[in-house]
Amino acid sequence: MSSIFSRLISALSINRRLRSGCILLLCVVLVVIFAGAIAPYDPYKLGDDLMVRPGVGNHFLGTTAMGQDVFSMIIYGSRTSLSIGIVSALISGVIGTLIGAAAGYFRGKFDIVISEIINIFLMIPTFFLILIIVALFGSSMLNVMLVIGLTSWPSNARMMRVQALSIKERTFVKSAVAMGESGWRILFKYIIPNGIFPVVANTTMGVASAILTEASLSFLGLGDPNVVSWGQMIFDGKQYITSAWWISTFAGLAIMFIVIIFYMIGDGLNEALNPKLRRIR
Amino acid sequence: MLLDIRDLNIVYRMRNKAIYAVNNVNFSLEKGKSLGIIGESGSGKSTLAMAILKMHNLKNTEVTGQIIFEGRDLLALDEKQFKEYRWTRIAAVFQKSMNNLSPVHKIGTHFEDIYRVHEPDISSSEIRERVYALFHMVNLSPRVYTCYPHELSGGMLQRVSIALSLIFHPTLLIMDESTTALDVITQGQILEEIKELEKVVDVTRIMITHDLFVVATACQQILVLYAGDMMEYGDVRDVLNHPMHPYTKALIASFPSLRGEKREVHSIPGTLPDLSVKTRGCAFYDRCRAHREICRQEKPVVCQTGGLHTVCCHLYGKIRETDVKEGVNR
Amino acid sequence: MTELTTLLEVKNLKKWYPCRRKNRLFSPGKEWVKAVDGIDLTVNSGEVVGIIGESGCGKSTLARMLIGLEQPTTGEIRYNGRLSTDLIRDDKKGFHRIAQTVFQNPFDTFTPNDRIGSLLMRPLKMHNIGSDSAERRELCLSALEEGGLIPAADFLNRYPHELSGGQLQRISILRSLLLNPAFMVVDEPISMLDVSVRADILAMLLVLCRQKGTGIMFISHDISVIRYVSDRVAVMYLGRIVETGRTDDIILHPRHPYTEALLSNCSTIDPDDQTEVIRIEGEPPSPVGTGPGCFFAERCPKASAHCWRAYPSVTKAGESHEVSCFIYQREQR
Repeated sequence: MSSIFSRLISALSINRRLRSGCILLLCVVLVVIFAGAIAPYDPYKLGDDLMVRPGVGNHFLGTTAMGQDVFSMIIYGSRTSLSIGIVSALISGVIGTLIGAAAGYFRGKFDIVISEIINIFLMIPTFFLILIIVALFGSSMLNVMLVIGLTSWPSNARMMRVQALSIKERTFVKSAVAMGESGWRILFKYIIPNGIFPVVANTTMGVASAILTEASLSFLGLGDPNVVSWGQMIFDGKQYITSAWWISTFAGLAIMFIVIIFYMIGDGLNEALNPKLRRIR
Repeated sequence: MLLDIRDLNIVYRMRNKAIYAVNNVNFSLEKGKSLGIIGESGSGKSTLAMAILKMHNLKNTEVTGQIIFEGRDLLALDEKQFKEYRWTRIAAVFQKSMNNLSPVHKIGTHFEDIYRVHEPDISSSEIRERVYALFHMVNLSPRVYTCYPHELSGGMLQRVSIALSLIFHPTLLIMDESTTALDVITQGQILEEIKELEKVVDVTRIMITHDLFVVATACQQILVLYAGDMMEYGDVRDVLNHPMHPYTKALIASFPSLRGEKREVHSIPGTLPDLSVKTRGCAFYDRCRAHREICRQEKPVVCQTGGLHTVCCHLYGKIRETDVKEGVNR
Repeated sequence: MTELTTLLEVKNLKKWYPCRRKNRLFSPGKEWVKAVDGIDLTVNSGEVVGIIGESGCGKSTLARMLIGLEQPTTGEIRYNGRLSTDLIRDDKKGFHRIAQTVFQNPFDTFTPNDRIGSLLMRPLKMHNIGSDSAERRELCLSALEEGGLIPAADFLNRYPHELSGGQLQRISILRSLLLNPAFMVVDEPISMLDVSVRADILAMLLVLCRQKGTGIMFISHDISVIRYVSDRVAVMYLGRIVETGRTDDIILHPRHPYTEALLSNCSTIDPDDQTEVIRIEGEPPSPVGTGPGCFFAERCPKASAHCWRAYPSVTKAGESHEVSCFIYQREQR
């Protein structure tokens, strides 16, 4: 297992995009942790200054129609976005890896069923499925995480399945079988550690798309109303877009910023860990 | 003289180190005397072949010395000038040449394309005739012309590659492990065919291989490389029957015999030296059973021992005759 | 040599893979790739049996069946008289302690993530050999030393990619031998190694197996290596054994036209060797739709009409030298 880390470390030292992505992510994480210290106001507090322009008074990025400080909302909103993104991508990564690896390694009927399910998921418009589920079961943060995670695993599973199919033919798996190693152990000890890198890269990209999905849900008014989220800010700000452009715009920029970070990391990981791409570079 | 290589040095420059792949190689090739270059992995044999074909990426590879082919130094030519040579005068067949065939085109199309580029006015029937003649040379049936690559076996594909390399009747053909992946019978027959080929077309081969069998059957001269250094050079018969360099001797001793008396085989202890360190002495020093102090200190000079046979070893250079015997027997 | 006991007995072993007909609409029904098509073979303990054949002759499929990586279609594999299917059913792990293997590609035999130490200790732990990890470590150390990998403790902490092919193949052999198998299949164990290290790997394999009385099936396309290591040789062609016998009987006095051709196409390193090369027409056919005649008939330079009609039965050509060929049968009569 330690070599997975050493590979990640060496990937960091080679790939510039990955490195800068990680540094930026670290900054974002610091912001998330110290949100209370950085944000000048309580984002939930309705202030007296309504729709203040950016830079006026102590409001760095202005205020909303309700008098909330936009800068503080964006700082606190990073918590929502990041946690929803990471948790749902993790759910999808873990489920995808396990199901995909098992399908690819054990083959048989299980594989046929899984492959069909993956195909179905890839065909139906997932976003509408999410919409329906959130509309039915409520839009708490936990629900949103679960729904996004449970609908996005098929792409990871498909990737892992292909990996498992090829690793299965490698000599070290055959020699493990010849040694008498059990099927499950081969799956967890040989197949997954050696094939997980593209899934890691894909999951990182998945964080970005989960953040976007959450933003879209909030934009449609299906976000968790009890937390500050960037999508919701855009939703709230859209009716004032002509008079107070800053409410939606800065939230939108924040989403763009974090999505780009995760794409940089995901792309960098893909390039650094995928042997095929690495050779070209 | 067809090819004359003088003081060839090839260095791969990497980020934080250099790999000295070929060091001070000198040899010459006469027309019609096919040469086998033998060496293990890391001996620089393929690097040498790529230098003759000017296939190195000059951004990270330093090639110095002279490669004189038909009187002109190939290293002095630029890419445009070299185009006249590549494939028309110097052609190559690699171990994986067969993978270079496009899977969606028929075998014949590959030939047609090349002919059309070089001779735009040529007619289809003319091409066909010429290709059939080439096929005949490498023992392929004309039927192959309309086949797709996946319909052919490995041996046939390798024959197609050889036919492709012979299109413009090159004077020099470089074959880099081109029969290695094939089955015994196929390999044996292709070797026979290319020996026959020399009677029909005027082509001289350089065969690069790790397998002494190939050199023994299909070449007249042999060059033994080790870690980028020349060890021994000469007529195949001389070198294989009376090897002089301890490395050549050890290499021959590591091949089991097929016919005749069964003999013990021996490995060469130790491993290849680090190619990123420029050695002061003989590259084979630490694996050599007959090594002396001088072998570690100084590079051995080339020593001509009669005819073409040359050997790069202190045993035959500075040390007196009596010492030689003693050293060999040690 | 000690008295020979039959270790492995293979009877009428077959492995057929179904394959689709090219034209399924008009000619329904399955076609079979007969990778292994009826093999009878024995290996005695302490003996090295070489298998020669070109690619596609089924030698690797045979190897995979013997170590339980693949199930035979029909036929029997018996180790010390017991059916392999019974052995696997009763004690799957125990079966892997009887039959072990060494693979061709040493660079891919070990997971890249683990150190040599844990790679070597894993099979011991799996098979409950040695009481605790300290004892297993000792076992591994002594095995490495036996295999000439000194200092052994150094190797335990290395990763596979830090070692040379020769070292990895030694470790691969040692790991298989840690289980004390009665039988080993080695499939082209030295073909990916540098020429200069091959001899030592062979010597190590042979010495260790002789010591432990392990029977070896040595598969290779390199006939001079087979000659060097094996006591007996079997020549395979399209899933069947066409000739078996003691090594020098086969190499020096081949009876089957295929063996003759194979041997004549093997060059030696002696440039004065003047063996006439027997030309064989055509490419090795695929093992689909073979028969009913001798499989080699269409490429055989000596084939007569009779050869196309039925598959030749096994004929004795000397003490423990057997050949399946009509031509030879007729010559004897």
